[in-house]
This record gives sequence, structure tokens and C-alpha cells, in this order.
Amino acid sequence: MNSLRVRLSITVLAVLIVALVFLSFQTAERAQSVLQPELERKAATVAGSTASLIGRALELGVPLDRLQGLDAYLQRILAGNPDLSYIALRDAGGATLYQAATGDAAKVATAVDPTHSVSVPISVQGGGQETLVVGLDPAYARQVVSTLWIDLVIVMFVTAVVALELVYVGFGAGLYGAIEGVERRLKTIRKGDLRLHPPVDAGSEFGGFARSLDDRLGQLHSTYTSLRNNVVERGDQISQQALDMMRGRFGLGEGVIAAPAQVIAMRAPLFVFMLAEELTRPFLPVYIRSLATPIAGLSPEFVISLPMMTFLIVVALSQPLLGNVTERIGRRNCLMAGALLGLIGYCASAFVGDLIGLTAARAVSGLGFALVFVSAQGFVIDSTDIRQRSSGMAMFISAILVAGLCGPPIGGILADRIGIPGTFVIAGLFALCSLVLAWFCMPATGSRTSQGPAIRWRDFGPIISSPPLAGLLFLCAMPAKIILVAFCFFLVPLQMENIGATQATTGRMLMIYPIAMVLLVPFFASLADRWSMRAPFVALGGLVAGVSAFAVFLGGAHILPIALMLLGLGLGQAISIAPLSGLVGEMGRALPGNVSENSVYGIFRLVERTGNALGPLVGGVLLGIYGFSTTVMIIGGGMALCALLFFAVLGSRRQPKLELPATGRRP
Amino acid sequence: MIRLALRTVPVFAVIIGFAMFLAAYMNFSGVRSAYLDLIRSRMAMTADGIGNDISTASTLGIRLTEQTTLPGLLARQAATDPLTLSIDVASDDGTVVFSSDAKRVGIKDAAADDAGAFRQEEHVANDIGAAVGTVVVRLDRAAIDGAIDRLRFEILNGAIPAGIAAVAAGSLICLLLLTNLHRRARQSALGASDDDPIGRAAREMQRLQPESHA
Repeated sequence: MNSLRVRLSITVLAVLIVALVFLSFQTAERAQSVLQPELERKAATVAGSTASLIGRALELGVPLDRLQGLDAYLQRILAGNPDLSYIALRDAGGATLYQAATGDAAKVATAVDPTHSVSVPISVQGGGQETLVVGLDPAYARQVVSTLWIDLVIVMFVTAVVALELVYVGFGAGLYGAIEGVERRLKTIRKGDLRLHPPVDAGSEFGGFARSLDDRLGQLHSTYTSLRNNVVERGDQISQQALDMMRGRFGLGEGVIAAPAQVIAMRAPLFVFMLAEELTRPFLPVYIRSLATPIAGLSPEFVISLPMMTFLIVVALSQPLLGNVTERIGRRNCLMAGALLGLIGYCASAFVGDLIGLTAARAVSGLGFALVFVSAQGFVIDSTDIRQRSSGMAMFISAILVAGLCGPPIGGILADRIGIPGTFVIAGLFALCSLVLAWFCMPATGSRTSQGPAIRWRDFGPIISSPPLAGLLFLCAMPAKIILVAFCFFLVPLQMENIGATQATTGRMLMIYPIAMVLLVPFFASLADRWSMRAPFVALGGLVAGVSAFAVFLGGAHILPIALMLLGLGLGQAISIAPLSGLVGEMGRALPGNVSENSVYGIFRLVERTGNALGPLVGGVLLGIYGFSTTVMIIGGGMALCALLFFAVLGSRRQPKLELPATGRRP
Repeated sequence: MIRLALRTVPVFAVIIGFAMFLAAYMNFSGVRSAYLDLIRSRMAMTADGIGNDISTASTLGIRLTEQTTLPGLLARQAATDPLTLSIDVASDDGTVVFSSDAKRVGIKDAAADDAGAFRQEEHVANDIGAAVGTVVVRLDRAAIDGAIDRLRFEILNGAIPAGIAAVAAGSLICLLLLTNLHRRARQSALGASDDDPIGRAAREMQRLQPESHA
């Protein structure tokens, strides 16, 4: 990640947090002045109502010292009113006869505190000297504001991340590309890496600096080339060796492989659209459940899974077909069309009144999602050559991951505050924003000649008849997607709602998986490459992800075991995801005949998407029969078993020197 | 540099300003919810107490229309809260049978036609679960909205200086970061730095040049 962007983001975050602390303290003071009179009125109502009840008991002749169960009754009142700190019944001398108090308030209750309490006499015919005192919690206003803190900090964090994503839009492509270009050049030059860089737009001041640096580097490289030619002509071995050493030290005669600046044009529209979809994660199953009506012969849980499954099936089936469509019509046009479909789908989801309507709306959103995804991916492919592809795709994937990190908590907060339909409308507005960003940021390219389908159906035969590759696809890739979608998108949101968690809490819970992925994927990817142990990493990751489900043994109705399960899932998938992708290419290249690597990857993605679509189905069917804990353990156990089977398949076919070298470092 | 400042400051001002607006809104909405929850809970408590009295009387065989102590009770309860417009007891068909506001007795109560009131309804049933009537507590919505508007204004007043300070500080620090990059880029582009790897590599090559000619 570029260090300037990180520093800018940290700056924004730090400034926001300081301002937020100041604002929150001010709000707490103002809340006190607004809430205090209302708290006193409410305390008076509680006191009046309770005093009248006690008075009635006394009138019926129950002696004051025999009011059975009064302490428990007072305690119940206190439990239902967090703004009150104590309730006490006192006799004429001020001695407390009955009381209920929270925490330290027990001490307060023994003394009279007129500024934070309300007293009413117990009215009894014939007179009475007793009083009921209701104490207010002086910290209540502060508590009201402090409960917002977690939400506010998340909002600030997400704002900083969004700033990091959108700073490009604010600066414009030319200037931002130049700033990043200069940053990259300075970073490599400082390390003594003097390779040449891809050119950037030289229109701005930073662009001018980048060009000056490129001129200096270019001059150095041309001096090196002419010197080298000279030395070779003369057959001067010693100088040649010295030049070789210089080439090794400074990278002379070589170029830096980086995605061209224009690739970033797809990042803002892609990120904003993915954010729209991710907003719906914490509440979608709950919303479907609220609209679902019983269907004879189907469990309610299975019925809930139908709209989610529809979305994922539309995505799975349309993505392989849309590659050519976006090529012909143009990536920007298709991305805008996808964003428009997203706008329609999300807004329709907000206003539909039944399950069929929601399923149709989700299908439209799914088509939009697939179009945006394929168009952005295609844009990266169009803008990069084969050497730059990896860094271009990294930009594409990180936009999706960051959206996955920010979307659920924000969606949860919004759903709690403005309701689920309102949050769908906001998701629709995000999709609209994506359309506008695509219009402004992406270049309007015309249609391109289709390069033929990515998947050739005849290639299925060789792939399925290769046990290691078939094992990788059907024992690792597909179960990984089933467990991900079943847990994160379906089972956890439903279970969180069942145990009474707010949507915001569910959203925060769903951050665990992407955080683990963002932080750990690069680490495990490099480790697997360095140790040439991709296959064991894939198996180990599957095993960890599967076994993590058994955390619910600690209590599936509690938040902590569910959080542990998601953390284990994130850890497992972080271990396996990058090695799995690399292994597909390696095994694909080892296939006999003319099976292209593109086709193998196309089939791999199709298998993954099928796993996505199966996730809610598997989750829904099992949840209807076994309940949450058993369901996650069955799915997790299945995943772990598949990982072990894959390892066994590889072991049984291991040849004396079967090494799977790391890709990405071509000679 | 001025051009860079003109491009940088608005970008970060918009981003930080938007985040501060969001934070101020969430602060406001949190306090507003707490304020309305307090009012609702107090109204529910009042309605619940009256509903219990009605239910007890019904269980003793006294029909709703015959519970003649209710007007006094409703008037006493209404008098304790200056925000109260009225406390009504409506029969099963929605007709107001008793009210703290005599003008409302006999009219059909409908929430949809009562936009000026902030309402809390409590349905009353007898011991066997049969509907007896409804207690409706009506508060002055304009007064409640006025308090919320004051709260909004006060929080906004506090947020504006904090927001301006955040925008200024954030934009300035971001500008400084970019200025620092600008300075380093200029030094490197001109080869003005003492520890310039490009210059070092060029010097090393220069040293090789005489050797290769030799």
C-alpha cells in the first residue's frame, strides 16, 4: 500500500477522533440539560404510581412492615428504567424500610439527595407519614452519549478508509497518478533501486518532478547501456563484471512492474458499488424473514435462503457470459448499466411487500453486481499487460475487501437508526454514486473485438479427470465459498438477531472476517511462496476454517464463541486463499493437451461461484432441521473433512520429486 | 505550491466536513432517541396505571361507562404534566368515553387525524382477555418538537466550530504531508540531496569509464 495514502488516512482519522471526542463531551453536556427535566418528570410518575400502589395496600390493612415482595417489585421497576438509580420507602423518621438500588446507589439511598431525587408521600386515608423516594442516575445523559462511542469510532474509521479510496476522485486522475508516481519513484530511489518506471501524466507540478526523475534515471540507464556495449565490444571481462554487479545492485537496464496509473480509474466506482452491496449484509436474512410467508413443505429457514440464493445464482451464471458483453459494449458503459440495475434493485428491495418481490429485486441487484464486477475486472485486464496484471488485480481485489470491511458495520448502524428499507435506499444511492463516478473517472472506450470465451466447456473433461485439480476445486475451492457465504451472509446475521443483538452489533461482528483477511492474506501468501508449500497451506487453511466452527461448543447463543468462529474462518481462509489461486494455475499448466490457463481459471471461478450460490441453500436446509450450533458444526466438519481428503489425494499421488514451484516469479 | 494547496484543501475539507456532519447527526439522533424514549416510557407508565384501574373495575363487574371516578383520575394525572393535551379513555369502538379534556368526550378517536399530538395507546382487557377499551395519552407534539429543534440547534452550534477546526487542522496536515513530498521530489529531481543514489550510481559508472577505455 502506498505510504502517502496511509499517512493521509491516518491524519484524517486522528483529526476526526480528536474532533469527535470534543463534540461528544459537548453533546453530553447539552443532553444533560434536555434530559434532566424529562428524567425528573418520569421519576415523579414512577414515584406517584408506586406510592399509590403502596397506599392501596396500606388502606387494605396490610401492615407497613409486612409488604411482602415489595423489594422485588421495586427492583423490577429499577431494572426496567435504566435512568433511575434507586427507589426507597422511608418512614416518618427517614429510616429506609424497603429499597432497591443499582451499584453504588445503595449508599446514596441511605441519604437524602434532593437534587437527584423525587419524593412523594404515601397517601393513605387517615393520614400517613411515609415517603417514597426515587433517585435519578446523574450519569444517565453521559451514558446515552457514551453508548454512541463505538458506532462513532467505526464511522470515523470507515470515513478515513473511504477518504483513502476517494482521494483519487478529489485530486483527479492526472494529479493523483503523478503524486503516487513521484511517491513510488522516491521510495525505490531511496532504497537504491534505480529501475525505470512507467510514465505518468506530466501536466502537473508533481508530474514535472516525475518526468525530471525519469529523465535522470533514463540518462543513467542509457549511459549504462552504452558503457556496457563498449565493454562487450572490447571484451573487457573485469569491467563487464563490475557492470553486472552494478546492474544487480541498482536494477540498471530494468523497469519497475507496476499497474499503470489509469487502472485506478475503476477503483472508486467499484468500491462504492461494493459498499452498497455490503451495507445489506447484517440485515438481509432478517429482512427476508420479516417478509417470508410459510410455503407448504419447506422450512422457514430454507424459504429465507431463496432470495439470497437467487442473487448468487444470477451472479454465478451471468459472470462467465458477461465478459464478452462488456468487451463488446465497453467496460465503462457496462459498469454504469450495472450500477443502474443496482440502484433499481436496492430501491425495489426497500419497497417490496413480499418474498417474491424481494427475490425479483435481488435478482436485478445480482445482475447489476455481476456487470459491475466483470466490467471493473475487464477494465483492469484492458489497462495492463501480462506483467502488470498482478498489481492491477491487487488494486481490484483490495477495493472489494475494503468495501467488505466498511460496509457491514455502517449498514448495521444505518439499519438501527433509519430502518432496513431506508438503508436499502441508501444502498441504491451508493449504486447511483458509483454510476456517476464511473462516468467521471473511467475513460469512454469503444467496443473491442471479443477474444473468445474465457471458459471452454470441453476443458471440463481433462480438469475433472485430474484428481489433484478436481480435488482442489471440489474439496477446497467450493467448500471454502459454501462455508463463507453460509456463515457470514446467512447463519450469523440470523443467529445474532435471535440472541437479541442489534444490527450495528451484527455489522461489527461481520467485520472480523475481512479484517483477518486484509491483515493476514499477504503474510500467508508470501510464506506459502517462500516455503513452496502451497498445497499444504490450502489443506491447513481449510482445516482451520472448518474446525473454527466448533467454537460454538462454548455456546452458540453467545457473542464471543460466534466471534471466535468468524476469526477462525478468517484465519483459515487467509492461510489458503492466495495459495489456492496460485495452485490452480500450476495444476492447470500440468494438464495434458491444449487446456489453456485462462480456461482453467474460468472454470475455477465458476466452481467458486457455484459454492457461493450453494452457501445459503446448505445453511437454510440444515438450519431448518438442526438449529444454529449443529448446522455450523456440520458445515465446518464437512469443510475440515474435505481439506483432509484433499491432502490425502495429493499424498497418494505424490511422485518422488513432485515440487510445486511458486508462480509469479518467472525466469 | 498554491495550486497544490487549492487542490488539496477542498478535497480534505469535504471529506472531514462530511464525517463531522455524520458524527454530529449521530450524536443528535442518539440524544433525541433517549429523550423520546423517556417521554414514551413515562406515557406508557401513566397509561398502564389507568389501564390497571379500569381492568380491576371491569373484573369487579363495573362496565367502562359506569366507572365514574375516571374523569377525576384523568384530570389529576393530566394536571401533573404541562405537556399533556389530554388523557382519554376510549370504548371498544374508538369513541372517547372519558377524557381530561371535556371537549373530546363523545368524539371518535383516530390516530391518523391527530397529527398535533404525540400519542401513547394502551389497550385494556379484562381478566378473560376481552377488550374493554383503550387509554390514550396525548402530549403536545409541537412542544416536544420544539425541544428537539433546540437540541439540534445546540448540537449543531457545538459541531460547527469543532468541524471547522477539524477541517482546518486536517487540511493543513495533509497539505504539509504533500508539501514534504513536494520538497523531497524537487530535491531528488534536481539531484540536490547529499545522499542521492542516482548521483552515486552515475559517479560509480564514471569511475568505470576510464578503466574501460584503458
